[in-house]
Amino acid sequence: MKKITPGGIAYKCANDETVTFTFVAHNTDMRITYRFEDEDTARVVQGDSFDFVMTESLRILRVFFHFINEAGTGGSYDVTLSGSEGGNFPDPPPVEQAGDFVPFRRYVFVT
Amino acid sequence: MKKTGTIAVAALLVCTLAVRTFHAQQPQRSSDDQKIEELKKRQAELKRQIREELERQNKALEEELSRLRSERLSATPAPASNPTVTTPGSVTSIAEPGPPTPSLGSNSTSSHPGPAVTNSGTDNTMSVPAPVSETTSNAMSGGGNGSANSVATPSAVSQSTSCALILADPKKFSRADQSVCFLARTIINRRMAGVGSTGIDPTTEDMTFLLPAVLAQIIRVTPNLSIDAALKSFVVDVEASRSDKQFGSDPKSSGTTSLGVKGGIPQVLSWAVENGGAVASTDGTSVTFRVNPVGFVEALSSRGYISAFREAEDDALARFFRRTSVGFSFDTTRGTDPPTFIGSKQQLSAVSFRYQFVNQRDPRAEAYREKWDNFIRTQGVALTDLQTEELMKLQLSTVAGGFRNPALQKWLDSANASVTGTTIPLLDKNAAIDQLRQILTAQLGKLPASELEADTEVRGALMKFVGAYIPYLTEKKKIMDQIARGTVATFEYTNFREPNAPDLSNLRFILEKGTLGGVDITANASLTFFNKLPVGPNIQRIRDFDFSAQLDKRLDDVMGLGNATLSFTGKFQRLTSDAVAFDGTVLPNTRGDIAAGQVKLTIPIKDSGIKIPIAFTFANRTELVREREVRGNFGFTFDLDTLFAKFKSFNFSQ
Repeated sequence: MKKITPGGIAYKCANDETVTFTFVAHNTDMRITYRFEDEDTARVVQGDSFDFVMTESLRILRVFFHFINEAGTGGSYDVTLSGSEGGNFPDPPPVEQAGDFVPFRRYVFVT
Repeated sequence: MKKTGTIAVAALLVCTLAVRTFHAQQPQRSSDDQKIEELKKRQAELKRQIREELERQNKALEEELSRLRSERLSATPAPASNPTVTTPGSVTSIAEPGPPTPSLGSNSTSSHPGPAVTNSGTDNTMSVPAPVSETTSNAMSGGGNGSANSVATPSAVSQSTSCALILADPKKFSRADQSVCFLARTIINRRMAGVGSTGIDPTTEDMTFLLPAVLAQIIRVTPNLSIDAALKSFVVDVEASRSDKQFGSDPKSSGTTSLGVKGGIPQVLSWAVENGGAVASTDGTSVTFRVNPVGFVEALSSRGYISAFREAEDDALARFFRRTSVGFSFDTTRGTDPPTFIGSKQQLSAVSFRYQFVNQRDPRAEAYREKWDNFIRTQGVALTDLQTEELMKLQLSTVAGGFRNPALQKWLDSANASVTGTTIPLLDKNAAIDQLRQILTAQLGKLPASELEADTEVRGALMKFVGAYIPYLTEKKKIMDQIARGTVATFEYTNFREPNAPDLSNLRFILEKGTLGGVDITANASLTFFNKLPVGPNIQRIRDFDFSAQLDKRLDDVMGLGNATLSFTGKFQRLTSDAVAFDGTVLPNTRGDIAAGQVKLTIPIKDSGIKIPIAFTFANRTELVREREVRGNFGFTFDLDTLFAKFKSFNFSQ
């Protein structure tokens, strides 16, 4: 997998390459959901990572970060992407807790 | 006699001269005052002229800059769509406008003029100066390239309210105000990290905050907008702490604001300074430290708060120690005059051990894991689905993900030109966020709100996107409310150290329960006995026992400090032995019953962890004197948990 935009929003993958998202939660219970534009329903991340196989020429993904903590502030997530064909891409800065809002990031994958 | 007359005449002369001199100086002083006034007026006038001239020059500069930018934009060939990947293996940067390129997205037929999102990597400084104050003032006066509708003040909160304040306690501000500050913070975070776009980037979490801010602006400038009342309130209205932790000392202490005792324990450390006894035999100032040993050690180590909590839940021994706290109270009147806290052994007046054997109020507890699992499976997924579907209506399915609506995209390009073209020093993050907030607010003032409002798809998508939060947060609040009503049961042993009298031991059982009305009920039952029996006719091993009940009601935040707590406490205490004075003397005929009531207001200071309790206690007598007593107490408590939760980095995976 290669990053094809400076901001890290688009990645080029090999056919059938497995893309893995890994998360580290700070000061929050880890609760993340995601949805591809070409799918009908969202999914819940189990554990601290999820992966998918690039079988399409283009996939647009949005990852939503939920925060569960007592203080209501101060939580954050670190995000890292990696490809089975190589490439490890941290996606800084961390996604920070923002009141009641549920921040999301958009990622584009092409083959 | 003659001498006396001479002196009298001389004195008269001196007085006359003095009076004349005084009167002679009056016009002089009056003249000086007039001169000073005149100079002040001239100075004020000069300042006004300088300010006007600078503002005029600044405005001219801004107009020239706007003109040049417009010319540059109009001279640049507009791309047919967002620049995208053209052929496998090739890369097209989204940073610069380029020639039309085919889009990979199936529905990328819309186009937007001007450059796509500018991504200047680590460039944290501007290329063209654009004074912030001028940009803001233009927006406020309806200038710029916005629509005629966009003349309303974009933010309900004064720009003098720092984003730091809003970010620290978002619930005290409208989501419209929050969204602009969160957007500014996200952009500043990227600039400080030297990654990603230096402007508003629709591929990042910026969209989370931009869309509510856009909707808020449409609401503001469209008084007759057809919008659900709940949604409108969610966006533009201000949203309307645990009170179960006992920070201060036991009611038997010489200085305490508490008649009853709460059962909560700090996760890390708390301390309290309180003045004035309740109905105890002494009346002084106490300093109480209460520490959770496990939490304290973990807080000092590199391990995370949340992760440590979860791990401790899985370990029986760690679980036991995590639910304990140890308290140390110091009587500052001992050994010092005036009373001063020196932390000496002599001043140590009480040591307590507390074990919380039931705590159903921590959202991090294992007991709530299933609730949160269900919440995410249902509400989390629903929010993700709904927002994604609306985002697909608003955004192109291209790499850059620009807006489908040309007017909105044009506004974004223009806003980004201003945002990325402004130097913002990053040394002070809060100042940087505030400066960017001003620019964003000014740009929101230029939003083509009437055009967007007229576009039913855009309007509907914005409303549905933001409205998706309402059921999500309603369900989340239900869980949090349920957690807040959970039961806390605590056992406490306290050893009171008396300098001359026999030491005392106190066993206390504390039970707390929340109610539907937001009232917390606390019940105490305690037994106190002498460690060593003093000599006296009416002395028994058991000194006293007591029962108390306390109601706590969290109040609305009327002072802007946070939610104060109002408490009412009733207490019955039976002294089964005569009281022993602080010098060890047994006071005869002091056995009997004490009935006391207390009204207490605990005022928090924002999210600082600091609380100020102020209490008034009424009693039929005190332990030493059989006379009615009314006392006032005040104090100062500090809960380090608040700070640890905010600032310490807590790593779940460690």
